Amino acid sequence: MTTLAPDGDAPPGPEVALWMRGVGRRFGDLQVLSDIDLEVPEGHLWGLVGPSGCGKTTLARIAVGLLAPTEGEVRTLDVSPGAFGPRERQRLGYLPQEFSLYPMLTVQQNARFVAGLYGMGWLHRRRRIREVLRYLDLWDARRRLAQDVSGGMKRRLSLACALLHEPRFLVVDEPTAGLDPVLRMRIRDLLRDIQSRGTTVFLTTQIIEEAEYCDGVAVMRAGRVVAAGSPAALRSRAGLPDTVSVVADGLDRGDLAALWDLPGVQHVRTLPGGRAQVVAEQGERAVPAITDALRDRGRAVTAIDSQEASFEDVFLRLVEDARVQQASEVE
Amino acid sequence: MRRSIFGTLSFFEQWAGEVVRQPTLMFTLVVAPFLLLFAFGAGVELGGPRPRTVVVQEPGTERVLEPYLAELEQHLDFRGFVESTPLARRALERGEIDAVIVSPGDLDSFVDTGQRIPLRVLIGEVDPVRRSYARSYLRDQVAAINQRTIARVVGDAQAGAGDVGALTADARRYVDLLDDARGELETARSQVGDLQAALGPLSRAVDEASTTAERFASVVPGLSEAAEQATRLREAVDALEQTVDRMAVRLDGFGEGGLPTDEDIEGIRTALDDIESVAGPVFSLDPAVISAPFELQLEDVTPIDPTYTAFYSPGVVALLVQHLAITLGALTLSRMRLLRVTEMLRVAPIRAGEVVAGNYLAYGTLCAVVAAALVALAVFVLDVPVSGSWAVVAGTLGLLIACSLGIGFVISLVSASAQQATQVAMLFLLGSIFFSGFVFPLDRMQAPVDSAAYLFPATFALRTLQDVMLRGVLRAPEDLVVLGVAALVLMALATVLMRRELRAA
Repeated sequence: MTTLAPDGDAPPGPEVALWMRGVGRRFGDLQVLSDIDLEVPEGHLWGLVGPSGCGKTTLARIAVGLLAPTEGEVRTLDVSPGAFGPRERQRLGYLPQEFSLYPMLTVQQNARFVAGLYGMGWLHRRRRIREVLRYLDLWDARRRLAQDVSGGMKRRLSLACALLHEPRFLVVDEPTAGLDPVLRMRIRDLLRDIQSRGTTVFLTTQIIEEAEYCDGVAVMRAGRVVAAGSPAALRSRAGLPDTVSVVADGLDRGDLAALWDLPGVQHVRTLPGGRAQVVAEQGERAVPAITDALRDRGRAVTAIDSQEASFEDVFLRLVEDARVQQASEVE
Repeated sequence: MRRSIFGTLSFFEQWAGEVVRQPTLMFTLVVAPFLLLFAFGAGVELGGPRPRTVVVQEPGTERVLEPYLAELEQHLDFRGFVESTPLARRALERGEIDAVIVSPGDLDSFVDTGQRIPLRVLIGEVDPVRRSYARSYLRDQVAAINQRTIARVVGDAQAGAGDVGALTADARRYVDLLDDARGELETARSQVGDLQAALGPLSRAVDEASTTAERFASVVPGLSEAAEQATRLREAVDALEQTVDRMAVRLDGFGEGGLPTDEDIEGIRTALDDIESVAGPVFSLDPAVISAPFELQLEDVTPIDPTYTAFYSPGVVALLVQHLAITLGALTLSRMRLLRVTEMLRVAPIRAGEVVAGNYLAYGTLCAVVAAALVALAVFVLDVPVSGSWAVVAGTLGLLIACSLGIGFVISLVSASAQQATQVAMLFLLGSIFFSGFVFPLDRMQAPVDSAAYLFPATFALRTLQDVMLRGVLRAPEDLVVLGVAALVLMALATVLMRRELRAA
């Protein structure tokens, strides 16, 4: 599992794809990352979420060895990135935030170039390129110049190049930035599928909802990880109430007052069309209580539905809590 | 090993894929240098043109240069006479003419006072090379005028003394008659009178010749010896005249007692022998020999007769190939940075040496194709010979490419941007043009500036290509050693810098 404060300071074994302890990075006078502790287990799809400029890309670049940390210790696939040799790099895939291929080469030629960098022989390369381009729906566009394909195709081409050598650990930096919702969903499904095939995927994103589909999430703010865990654990930690929507005939003031009196209910308001909205600490527990209370008052409940707080609200709460805590620590 | 090979070759594939898709790039890289060399070979006519020249001849003065104009016109483009120096000077300043010769006016006034005749020539050239060429060319022309003047004077002197031989023969005949008439007073008187009469023209001819020779001896170098001999000749003739005159006086005063003795007759014959012996060498020599005793017999041991195109083509090839390789090298890695391909390389299992080797392979191939095309153009279209080994020509170009690509890669790796890399590459081109020996010969450069020449691979390649292609010999094999060592050092340096580039920041 992903943990914010893993047990012990000793480097982990091979079951952990990425391990960071007390990692910091400074660019001149600017401290971009501070005191990062992380563990990403093998085989997980893991998300790093945070606003623009919070240090996500810096952290991803440290994970693949593009940047060296100025403080702390990092182990990627059980090896310090500073000591990476060809063997370690062979097991690592990286999708940078920006397109970093040759625009004047075709989709297929770019893939061939990258496959060559990973030492793939011509026959193996040919088979694997066909396989990956088909998997990412790029086969029909293989003869088009990279500069002529759409933004979504470019992202998929970059992803294809990162997958050609079948990496054990794939780091993808903002894979859906600038894409429309349909393409975002397509990329998200692909990453989930890649993870299901045994590759550990570590992605950074500023689209909060995407983090919800990950096995584990770390929330970043101002160069620090303020919370980490499964989406459910984060939601629980944020402690945000659920919202229950009720539809019943002839709701009156007395009915609303009865709902107010139920345990865990924080707020009740009426809506047009005989509807009411109840904000409760735990929606799953509140639904039967609301149904029973209205039935006791002779009201027929025609529809009732409980909704969790959005992950965006969870994120905002966690970030705000961190800010308050940091401020109090400073005081 | 297998991974290294495929990794290295991937750069070649990437380059090939990009280049074939860009016909304009191919044109710029291959055809444009080809056209440059072709235009150079076909259109450049070096050497000095015949300067457009006018002669200032003030009204009423002697046209002293006129006898030389026909011959000078072979070397000067004679545009006519003008009447004043300011007028000619304005034409010179406007660029309508290249030179003005100011006629010296009255030659005799200089010659008679023993002064050399000033031949004033005005030029208005600002190009130092053409200026130097004009000075040298005009100095040659003045030397030619001097030489022709000496020949003319000597010729005149010889013409004046041309009949000395015939006149001494006449005198000798009268001496024989005098000898026969010994004892007959009247006949002897008559023969002495005839001898006196015969010596008169001889004396005048010798006078004329010696006067001419002496007159010009002070202004015409080389004529002083002839003048001295002419003086000795005149003294000999004067002495003979005095002897014969004394004989005539003796015959008139003493009658038969004054008849010439055997010693008198022999004395006259000896004097005539002296005259002939002195006159012979002076007046029988060819005036051209006296005026210009040395004749240039130039023998060129080079196996070919090089044209300007043939001489400059190896240099043009070396400069174009060097510039192409440095520019490509300088832009390649800058472009990788710009496209963020280096980001991918830093994550991929590829070593710095493999990246450098891959780029050497890719761009070395392109440069080799361009170099081969340029040499083929030079040899088969512009008729530039390859008198020596083709293998050495190919090897020199190969080393030049390796060295220049190394410089380009190093420039690229130490430059902050593609613009900076391009500027440094251009500086290398400019430096090569000035210092490689292409424009100015290396031995004409002053220390320590001449050391700059050895910063450019083109310097070594140009010298070797010229030697092998034109002379047919490799005169400085150490140049190839220098290129080879520099190529290896630069490759190693590029690898070290690339390793730094690919290291985590």
